[in-house]
Amino acid sequence: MKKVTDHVEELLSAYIDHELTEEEAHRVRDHIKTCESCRETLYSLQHVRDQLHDAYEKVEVPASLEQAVMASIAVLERKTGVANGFGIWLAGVISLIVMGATAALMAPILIAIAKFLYKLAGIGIKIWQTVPIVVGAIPYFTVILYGATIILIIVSVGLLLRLRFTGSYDRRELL
Amino acid sequence: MDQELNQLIYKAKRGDQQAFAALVRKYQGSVFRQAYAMVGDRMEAEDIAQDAFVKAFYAIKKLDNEYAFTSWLSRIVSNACYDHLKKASRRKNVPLLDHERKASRESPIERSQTRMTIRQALQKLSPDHREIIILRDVQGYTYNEIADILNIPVGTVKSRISIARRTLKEELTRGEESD
Ligand SMILES: [Zn+2]
Repeated sequence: MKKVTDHVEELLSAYIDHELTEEEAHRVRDHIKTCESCRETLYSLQHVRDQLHDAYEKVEVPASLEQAVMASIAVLERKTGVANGFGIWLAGVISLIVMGATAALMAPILIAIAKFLYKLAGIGIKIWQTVPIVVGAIPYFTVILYGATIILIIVSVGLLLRLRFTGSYDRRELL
Repeated sequence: MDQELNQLIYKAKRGDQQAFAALVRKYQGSVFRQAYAMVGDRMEAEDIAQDAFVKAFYAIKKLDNEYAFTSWLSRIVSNACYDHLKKASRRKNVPLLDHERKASRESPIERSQTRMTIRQALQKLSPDHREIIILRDVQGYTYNEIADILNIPVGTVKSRISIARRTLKEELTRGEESD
């Protein structure tokens, strides 16, 4: 007569799944030869396993499943596509606005610079026209002219710098 | 793993919708079966299967091991089932009693049977036990694969399957007794 603790009920489920070690499986095989109770339990567990397998083996898949899946993916993809497109469009509009605003702010300064350069050019031309007359009359004029030109350039640069400072000051006020 | 499947996965990972549609055709039976066994309702199972495939379409880019594709897909279905069960219990607020839930889900023919069917008995298990016995007996995964899918130790898989089977056996026997 076997002791109760020798029963293999705990192993039966894994036994039918072939998930026992060889030693454990051997113990089960040996035990069920003589123990009717464990043998009955084994058969009923096997029956449960077979029933469950058979119950869902031939479940019919809804005909529309694939179509439904691909349709919702298409919708999601289109949404992200639209979002991306909108993003690019928005970025374009914003940069145009920024560029426009910058140009509008800079316009007075650019015009002032253009006017100044035009005046400077006018002075230059006048000096150039007087050169042959004065050079003949005054000795060392070339040296004086060079000196005057350098002074003029320094003054121009100074004026330009002041103009730039005033420009940025104005812009700050506008903002 | 066959070359064709490998190719489909490769293309699907790069967002190829046609390749993914082919994967859906190939695995819809398995995915629907798992969901249907889990929730016991065709309409709900279809919703879950659809959600799972859409999730898979976006998650497949991050799939490292193509050889584990079926396990990976089963894990997604499993999670989708749990999400669905959570939502369903929140929607109901007061959880239905088992016999009420059963009655609302079954066809009149099923209800007229006094003996409990295996499908009815399955719905009586806790979600954890139901899930694991489906992965084993309906989907045919090994204990190691199930451990991987559910991210639990193999020992837990073994004991949980054992309890699930014995509970199913008891439910079915109880049905026979009242017959
Ligand atoms: Zn025994």
